Amino acid sequence: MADIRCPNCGKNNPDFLDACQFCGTSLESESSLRIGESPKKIRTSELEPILPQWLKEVRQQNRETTEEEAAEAATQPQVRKDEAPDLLSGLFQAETSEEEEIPDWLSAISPLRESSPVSKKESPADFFAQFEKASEPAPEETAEREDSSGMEETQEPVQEDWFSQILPQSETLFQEAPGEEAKFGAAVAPFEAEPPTSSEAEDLSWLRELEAFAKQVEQPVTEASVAEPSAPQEDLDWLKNLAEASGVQQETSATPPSAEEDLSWLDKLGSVPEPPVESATESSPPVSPFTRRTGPLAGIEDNVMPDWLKSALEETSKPSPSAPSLDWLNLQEETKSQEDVQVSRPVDESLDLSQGEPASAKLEAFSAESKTPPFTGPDVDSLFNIELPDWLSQTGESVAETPESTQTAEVLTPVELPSWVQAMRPVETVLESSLAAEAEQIVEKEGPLAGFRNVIPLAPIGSSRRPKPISLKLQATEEQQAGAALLERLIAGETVPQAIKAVPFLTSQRMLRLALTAIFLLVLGAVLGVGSRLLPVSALFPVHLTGISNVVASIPENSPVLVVIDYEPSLAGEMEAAAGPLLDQMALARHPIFTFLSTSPNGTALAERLMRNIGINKPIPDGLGYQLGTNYFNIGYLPGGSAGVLGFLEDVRGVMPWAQVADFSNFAAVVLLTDHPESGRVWVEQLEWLKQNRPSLANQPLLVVASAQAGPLMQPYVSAGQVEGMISGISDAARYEFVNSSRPGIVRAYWDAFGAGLMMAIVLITMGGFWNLIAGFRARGAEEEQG
Amino acid sequence: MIIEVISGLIGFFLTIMIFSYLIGDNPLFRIAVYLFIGVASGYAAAVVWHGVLMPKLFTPLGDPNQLVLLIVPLIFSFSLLTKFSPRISWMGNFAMAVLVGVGAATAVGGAMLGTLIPQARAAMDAFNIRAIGGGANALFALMEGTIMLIGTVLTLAYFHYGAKRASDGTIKRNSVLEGLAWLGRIFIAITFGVLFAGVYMAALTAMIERLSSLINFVKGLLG
Amino acid sequence: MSVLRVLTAAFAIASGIIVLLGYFLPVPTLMQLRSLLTDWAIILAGTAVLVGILNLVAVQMEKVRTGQKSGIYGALLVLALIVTFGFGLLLGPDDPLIQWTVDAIIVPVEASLMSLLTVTLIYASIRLLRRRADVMSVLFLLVALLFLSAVLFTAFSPALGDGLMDLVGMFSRGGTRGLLLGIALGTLLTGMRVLFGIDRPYGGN
Repeated sequence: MADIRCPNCGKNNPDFLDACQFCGTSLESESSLRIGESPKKIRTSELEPILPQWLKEVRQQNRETTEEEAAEAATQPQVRKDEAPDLLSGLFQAETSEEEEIPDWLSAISPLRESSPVSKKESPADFFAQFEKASEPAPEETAEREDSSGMEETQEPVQEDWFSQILPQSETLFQEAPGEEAKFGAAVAPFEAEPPTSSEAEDLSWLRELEAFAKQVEQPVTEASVAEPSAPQEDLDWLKNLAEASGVQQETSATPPSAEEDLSWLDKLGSVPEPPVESATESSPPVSPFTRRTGPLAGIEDNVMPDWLKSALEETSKPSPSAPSLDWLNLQEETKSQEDVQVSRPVDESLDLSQGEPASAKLEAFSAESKTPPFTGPDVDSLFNIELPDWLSQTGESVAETPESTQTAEVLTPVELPSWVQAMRPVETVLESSLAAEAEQIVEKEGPLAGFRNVIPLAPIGSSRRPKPISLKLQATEEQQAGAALLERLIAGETVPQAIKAVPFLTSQRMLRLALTAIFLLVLGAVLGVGSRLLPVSALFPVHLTGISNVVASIPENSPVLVVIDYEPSLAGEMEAAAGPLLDQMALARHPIFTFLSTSPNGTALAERLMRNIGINKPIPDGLGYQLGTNYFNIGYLPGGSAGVLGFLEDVRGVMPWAQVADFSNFAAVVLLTDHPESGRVWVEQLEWLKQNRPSLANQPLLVVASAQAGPLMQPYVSAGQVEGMISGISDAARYEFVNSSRPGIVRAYWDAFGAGLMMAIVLITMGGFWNLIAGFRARGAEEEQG
Repeated sequence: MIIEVISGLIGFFLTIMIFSYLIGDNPLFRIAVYLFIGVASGYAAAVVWHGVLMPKLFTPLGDPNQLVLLIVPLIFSFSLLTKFSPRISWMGNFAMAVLVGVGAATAVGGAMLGTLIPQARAAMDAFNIRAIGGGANALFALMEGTIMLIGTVLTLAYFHYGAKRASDGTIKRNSVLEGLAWLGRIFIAITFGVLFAGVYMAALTAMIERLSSLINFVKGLLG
Repeated sequence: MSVLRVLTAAFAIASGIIVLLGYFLPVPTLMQLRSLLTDWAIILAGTAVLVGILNLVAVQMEKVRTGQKSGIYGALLVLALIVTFGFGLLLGPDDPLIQWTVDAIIVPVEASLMSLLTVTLIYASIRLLRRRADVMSVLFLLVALLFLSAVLFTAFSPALGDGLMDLVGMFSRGGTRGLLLGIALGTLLTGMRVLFGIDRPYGGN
């Protein structure tokens, strides 16, 4: 038996199940990824707003869990580059996110993203506008958490000046037209002039960001700038709120996955030969408090900041295996030195855009203590084909923040990169060997892809092997769209409150029903109460009654007769009244031995009740003195419907070993008491076949006592001769009792009340029908007049 | 005697509680209905246990000769209990397959041999002159047989839903069949009118029985 | 299609064909096999009743456990069921106490529910012509009135009553026979679909 793995919980299910037996998820093949199919990139951010609330909550919980795990992972000691698990964990971290490109809603969660609105999706104009406006400072809380190291005093004048600039600018930061790009042509000219960057203008973004942040050195955060939403965030306020509620730690820990798109530069970086690790940090001078003032990260409390972020902002007390990773920064310094940039120039001077040296100030911090050999030409090419991660741009900002930071460049040079960044460095060399083997084992554990295996390709993210983004825009035909629109209208129609009918109408309905009930109860109760016997009974036999007396007369003395109880307690009163005259006549005339068989579980009790109410088992002279076990037997319940009936007809003792009759042909007659045409039909049908195949049964009569509701549908069997006689309802029973001069039974007591009930029905239906017919015509006429 | 009084008293109050539904849905009505369902189900379970499972399944297990034949229904019966667990409910499919297969076969055999052929033959026999005899009764019988045959055919025509797509794209029944179906509606309306009257008479008898028992109980209490 | 699906379908088809062939080929071996299968079906149907009752208990207990609005009624149902079943097991269904339970509770409630139909049917027939005043509705009510009148007239004028009943019955029996034939044809078709494995209501879909 083949198994189907549940796409949701991952557990095995038998392949014949349509839904998972553990979680109920559909196991339809459409829901899983088939062999040979390429996974499609899904922009789940677009789907977020339409998710139901419960799913949002679940996703948020999963997200928080993931972020907590990421934070824990970040606080773990960094593993050296030769340790594959760490490398893989970095990849996994990138893959377990829902998409390769950072979703808008995720970027909204990250405070760092919020502080750097230049996302990859923004047009170049937006990017350049950032340069001009020089906005996007750190979150407000970052400024509020400025430590008391004395920086406030030194920066206050600058802050005031910055405030005066940022307040008006921040309002229009994200509204800049694409034409703003032209304004920054001069600003980015130094970068464009460089050969590596001129090959791909878009890859300059990281440098431009560096410049932009460098210009914002020491600028505090204003509420206005923080409050500025990015365009994609407008529709995702709920997620932003979630992010705000989730606390600083979550926001910070969410940063690594948010920078997935920027990992492309790491892909290029992976090809760079890794220099030997230098453990210079231990000999570095004590960290100045000013080194903590690193833009938005400075505002994050130490206790909530992941270790990797801490290590990125301050010197570490352990050897940094990732120190060589900053070699590319040295390269930047060398390229800048070609332009005669003064390394020791104060930062505030370099911030002036008019000086045309925007990048020198921030790069000098990285190049000051460079001890790594210069890069070769191809290395530089690969370097400038990357985008700078946000965290690094923040670091650059922090480095350029104060002159002191430039002086501690040797501390920052070996600064530790986040572990996941380090792990990504030797991507090209490791992926080929190790990840290929892991590819078959990676199963998504969360998010909408949970349970899928190998949905996200393991190709190095950001490389040319990265699968091309596939638009998830629904390719729907016009017919499908029309259907969707129709469904939408239907759903919308369901939400429209329906006008409630006028209360007087409902009240009149209830009053009419109550009036009818009162009439019936009073009239019938009165007739029954006085014990009326006024209504005559017809002495004429209808056709379907004529054969019954003959059948009764043909039954041998003391022969067994099968009585099938095929009715429910609801109609016990009618069936007892209808069957009474027949059974009473039989017992009086032929003294048969009744065998009661029931096709309803309650029938076993109804058989005894029948015998008691029609007075057969009462002692003489009130009854006929029939005794259970002597004159009649109750062999119980026969389940199985038509199969049970067939089995009983073929082999009575086989089905009912305790039956007194060994074979069905031993029954002198069969009396079927039924209130359902369906179950009654089963007996007639199966007996018909048995009579055709057993000559001994050919003369076995079948009599039917039917409820008035089943009588009409059993009538064709009487007409066809399959049933020898039928009593339908108490109207037939009353006549049968009267004609055969049987002992007066229940039916006579009911007959007058029955007649009164018929009369009331005729009158009420006639009068009410006419009234409502006229009222209906008038109402419809009035509606037509009103249009 | 005391048991009869208590029984009558309970039946009296339960009847009143059910009749209270005519005023509207209320807790008394619900109590009566839920109590009834519980008692009826418990009684049915006891009947099935005592009347079917014990004598037909468990008691014969002591007989080695029957053990072989009963081992399969025993396993099947227990497998039906797995229907409570979605994980292993598939085990009960075999028992259900046997139950459905046997039931379908008996229904097919019964419908064919017990209804289709005999009723068709009866419709034809209505025109058997030899069987009918002669005289006015024969004429009446022929007329009756003709009307019944027409009614049968028209009713079946009404339930024939075969249709074809017209040239304009609309789906329509054959015009002849459409006319026959309309006439079939007349016979169906007549038939349902008779059935309606039958249901009413059955319900009326049930009400009479209830009222009669209430009155008899009150009369018995009053002496 | 999995092995299990094939097996369950094979069980249904084989058992059905054996039983069906017994109608047309009265071979002793086949008939014995058919008797065996029908006996199994009877036992399984009895077990199915118990399973259904257990399911009822489970559903009601779930209502009680989750504190639903009708949980108290569910508790009453389960309590009544357990008590009745317990006494039924101990005393047997033929015991007078159990018979008394049927007389005092089951019959009165069910008969009362049925008797409510009296008022409901009259009310519905009165309201019918307000909503639908077409030929068929009028004919339907007219025939119902005629039939009720015929039954009533048999008490006062048997000839008139019987005449009316024969007149109405002549038309209604044709329709009834058509209905029965239609039901039989539907049963035949449905059964054949099961026997051919097209429909698998036993969970093999």
